[in-house]
Order: sequence, then C-alpha cells, then structure tokens
Amino acid sequence: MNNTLRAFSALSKREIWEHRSFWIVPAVIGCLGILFTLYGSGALLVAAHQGMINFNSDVTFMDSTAGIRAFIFGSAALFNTVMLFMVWFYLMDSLYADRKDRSVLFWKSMPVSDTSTVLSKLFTGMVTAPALMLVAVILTEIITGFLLIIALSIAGVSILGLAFQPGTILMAWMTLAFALLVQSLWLLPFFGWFLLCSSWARKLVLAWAVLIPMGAMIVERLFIGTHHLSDVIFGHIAKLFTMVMSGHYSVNGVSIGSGIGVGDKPDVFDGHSALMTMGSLVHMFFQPEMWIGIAIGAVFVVGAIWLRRNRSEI
Amino acid sequence: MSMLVQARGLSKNYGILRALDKVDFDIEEGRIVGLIGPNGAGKTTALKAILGLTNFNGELDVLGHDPRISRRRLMQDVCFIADVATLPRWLKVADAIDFVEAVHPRFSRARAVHFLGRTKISKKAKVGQLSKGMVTQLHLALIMAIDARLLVLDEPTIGLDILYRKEFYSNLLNDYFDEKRTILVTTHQVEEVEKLLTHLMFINNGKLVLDDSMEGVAEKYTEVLVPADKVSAAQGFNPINEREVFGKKLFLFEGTERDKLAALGEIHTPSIADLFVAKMQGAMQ
Repeated sequence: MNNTLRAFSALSKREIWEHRSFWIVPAVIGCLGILFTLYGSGALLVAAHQGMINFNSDVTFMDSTAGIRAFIFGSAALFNTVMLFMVWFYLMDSLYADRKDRSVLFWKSMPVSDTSTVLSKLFTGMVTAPALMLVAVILTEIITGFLLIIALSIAGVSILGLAFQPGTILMAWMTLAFALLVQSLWLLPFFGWFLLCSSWARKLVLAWAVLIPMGAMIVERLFIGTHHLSDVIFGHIAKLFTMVMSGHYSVNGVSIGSGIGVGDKPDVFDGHSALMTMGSLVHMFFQPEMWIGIAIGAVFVVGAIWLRRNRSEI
Repeated sequence: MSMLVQARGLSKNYGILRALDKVDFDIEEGRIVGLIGPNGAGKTTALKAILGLTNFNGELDVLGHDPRISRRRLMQDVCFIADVATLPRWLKVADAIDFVEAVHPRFSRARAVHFLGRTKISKKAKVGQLSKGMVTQLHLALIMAIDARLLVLDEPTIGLDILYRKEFYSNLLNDYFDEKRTILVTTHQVEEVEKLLTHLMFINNGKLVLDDSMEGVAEKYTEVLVPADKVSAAQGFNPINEREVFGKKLFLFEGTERDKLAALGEIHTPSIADLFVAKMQGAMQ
C-alpha cells in the first residue's frame, strides 16, 4: 500500500476508535429490532393459535417481491435516520474537539497533511458510518426475516417459498448501499458546512452551524421579503427523501409510501416502483442540484482544510 | 555540522502584541538548546513557528523547509511534545502504536515496545486511565521510537512529580540523544535542564536577550561573592546584577575578565536561573 493510502486508512480507523457509537448504535438498534420481532412473533403465534387472525392466502409472487423490498428498505429507514443525526454531530465535533482538549498538538506532530485529516473525517461521515450501518441493517434483516418466516410457518403459513428470493434480496441490499452513497453525495453541502463550522468555531459549533443559515433566512425574509434560501435548503433535504426514499421522481408527492404491505395492493405506480430502484437513484445524478450541491460542499471542505492549517488551538 | 533551523527577522503579532520582534537565530545539528523566558515572552510562539503551527513574518528555514507550507514533510524529521498530556484520553496504548506506525515512515515499533516495557503501562489501557506521569512516559516512548533529526519539547514535564521529571530527561539523554540529533526545549524548571544543555537562548518581550553556548556563557558571565569592604570596588566594574547573600554581596558581571574579578572574592559560573533573573531584571529597568 502506498504511504498516503496507508496513512489515510489509519486516520479513518482512528475515527472509529474515537467514535465507537458508529457501530455500537446500529448494533443496539439491530438488537432492539430483533427483540421486537421476537415479541411480535410470539404475539402473532398466540393470536393465530386463538384463531383471531386469518391469513390472506392469495399473496402473489409480485406482491411478495414488493413486500421483501418494503421490508428491507423500511427497516433501514430507522437506522438511517439515527445515523444521519450521528454524522451531523460527529462532523460538527470532528475538527473542534481535538482543539478543545489540545490533542490537536499530538495529531499535528505526525507527518499527516491537514488535507488528509479533514478528508478522513468527511470520509468517515460519508462512507464509514453508512457502511457500518449497512452491515448492521443486513444482519438485523437476516435475523428478523428468519424469525418472521419461522413464526408464520408455525402459525400455518409457509411464506418461505415466496420470501426466499435471493436475487430480489441481494438487489435490494445493493440498491440500499447505492442509496446511502447517493444520500452522502446529495448531503455533501451540509456535511461540508458542518466541517467548516467545526474548523472555525472557538466554541458552540452547533450555534454557528444552525444560527448562521437561520439568520440569513430571517434577514432575507425581513429585508428582501423573499424566502429563496429556506426554499433551497429545505427543498434540498425534502427532495432527497421524496426521490431517494420513494423512487417517485415524476410525481408530486402523491401516494408516497403507500401500497407497500404484503397482500395489500401492489406497489406499482405509473409503471415505476413506489420504492427506490437503481434507476431512480441514478436519476439523482441528472439533477442539477446534485452537482451544484457537490460544488458548494467542496468549497466548504476546502475552507475547512484552510482553517485547519491555520487554526490549531482554540 | 549542518544548520537545522535558521530564523531571520522572525516576527509575529497578535493584535497589538508583538510576540516575536524580528528575531534572528540558528540551531546547529547535535545541540541541545534551552529556550528560556517568562510567560508570554514569545517562547511558544517561536516553537509554533518552527513546527508549522502558526503563521509568521520574516524568514524561517527548518531542515530546508518553510514550515508554513510543508508541515507534513517537515514532521517526518521533526518530533514534538507540546505540553504534557496532549494525547487524547480515548486512545488505547496499542492503537497509539499502530497509528504512529502507519503514518510515520521513521517509527520503529520494536523501539516503542522496548521503551514501554520499562514502564508499568499496559498496552490495553486507554490514555484516560493513565496517570499524568504515565501519559508522558507513553508520549516519550512513541517519540523516542521515531528516528527524527529535531526534537522540540515545550514544557514537557510541567506538573509532573520529581521522579518522572528526572526519568524523563535521563531517558532522553541515555536512550535518544546522539551527535546526529538536536533538541530544542522550553521549560520553567531551568535547574532540571541546566546540565543537559549545550546552548542557551533567553527570550523576553519577543526579543532574544541571550544566545550562546554553555561554554560561552561560562566565559562571559562571572558571579563573584564579594565581602563588604570590596563592594564599591566591585561596583566599579559595572555588574549587571547584585544581591545580598549571608551579609556578603553577590555580583554578576558580563564580559569582565575573570582575572580582575578574582581579586574581589570567590568567583563562580552563575546558574542559569540566576543569570536568567539578572537578565530579566536588567530588561525591566
């Protein structure tokens, strides 16, 4: 391995040593998910035993494919929401905490460039954290999936034949992985902004990171009377969730997230899946906002690197 | 002998405060230089400039690099311990070794493990679980395992108890220092480094007030314990400092020939601490 790569991988590992929550939190969510599934399966078995529920037996193969995808993406959603908050706070802290406790003086005594340091933090937020989350999601889904299949078969419904679709499952996981990457790129302007604030603030990073954009929005509204900035910022986030999460890139918010239940009506809409697909994700790269966002994010990251070079203590 | 550090007109302002005021100095290979000054004199600013941690005006060449531009490259040949306990609390000892090994081309794991083996530090421990003295031992073990040309120490033993302080410097001298290495140290505990140093620099109000080898200092500065009857004769030689000791007067002379002073009383080479006090008081008057 060449030296820069070796150093970069050490820097990335160092981030996980410090922020073990990136794997502990997904692991805990996964364990809770498994516990709930166990409880749910038990309740299901009791209900079935008492004849309180009847299973609809006309589930088609098409329905079940949609169901599998809904299960895989749906259970990832909670992990993802928590992960995004963790990454947000992580990035705000990443170039500030070591200046606060003066350990920056140790890190800077090593032959590592400030560019590598800042990029390793960005990499941790954009790639490592989602990757660790993905591992937890996949393990949780395998375990909870098996629990459900077993519980249902004990209850007299064998869905193994319908649920065991390796191609669909694998494709859904790959789509999920790609979605996480698209999400990171789409959110780059936010990540860059948090790094910049983290590199700049002498205290209260959160206040700078939130109050500056809020202040700018208020000033715009009061003195110019428009609200373009808030439209752009909140619109950017909203677009991610309507487009990536639902795959509805040609619809105005109609029926998002509907029709995903097994035995319910199939999740087909306008010929597109109501859930994200590789196609709907690739479509994100044809949005000008993606590239404008990446450019703005890059400017913020360069600013963070410059500040890191010139501001070693608080 | 090659020149490791060359500063010409080195200046740094913090607002209206002149932390460094057009300072010139050279540090040659194989020296152990003590940079001594009161708080706020500019010591740390000078070190930060050398280490590429701050911007400055003037010229500064460290091992052929401009520290402002190539800190990464410079840190392959320069090590520093800035203050005690700058190792992060969450870092595990074993991970610290792995990290430095991965990023530093001149780090020897075997040497680090050897130095750590002489301490009570467990490899599984986190820095936060170690005492301040042990954190310093760990930091020193990591740094001594790096084959660097210049080692910069900024108050490396402040707040440590006497056992750790003695051990720190004896390790440094016995296991690290040789004619290929150079050490630049700042400290308030002057007595501790006195016997180590080959060169001495005093800094006050951003200016160098003394820059000499220890032999030079011994030649130039003489302390004379003068009995009461010869006090006025001694004052005739323009001492830079005088104080009373056991009913006699202790005078400090700069550049006066020892032969002439020997007639006045018992002569010594002043301690760094006494010389420092004399120089700083002189600057204040």
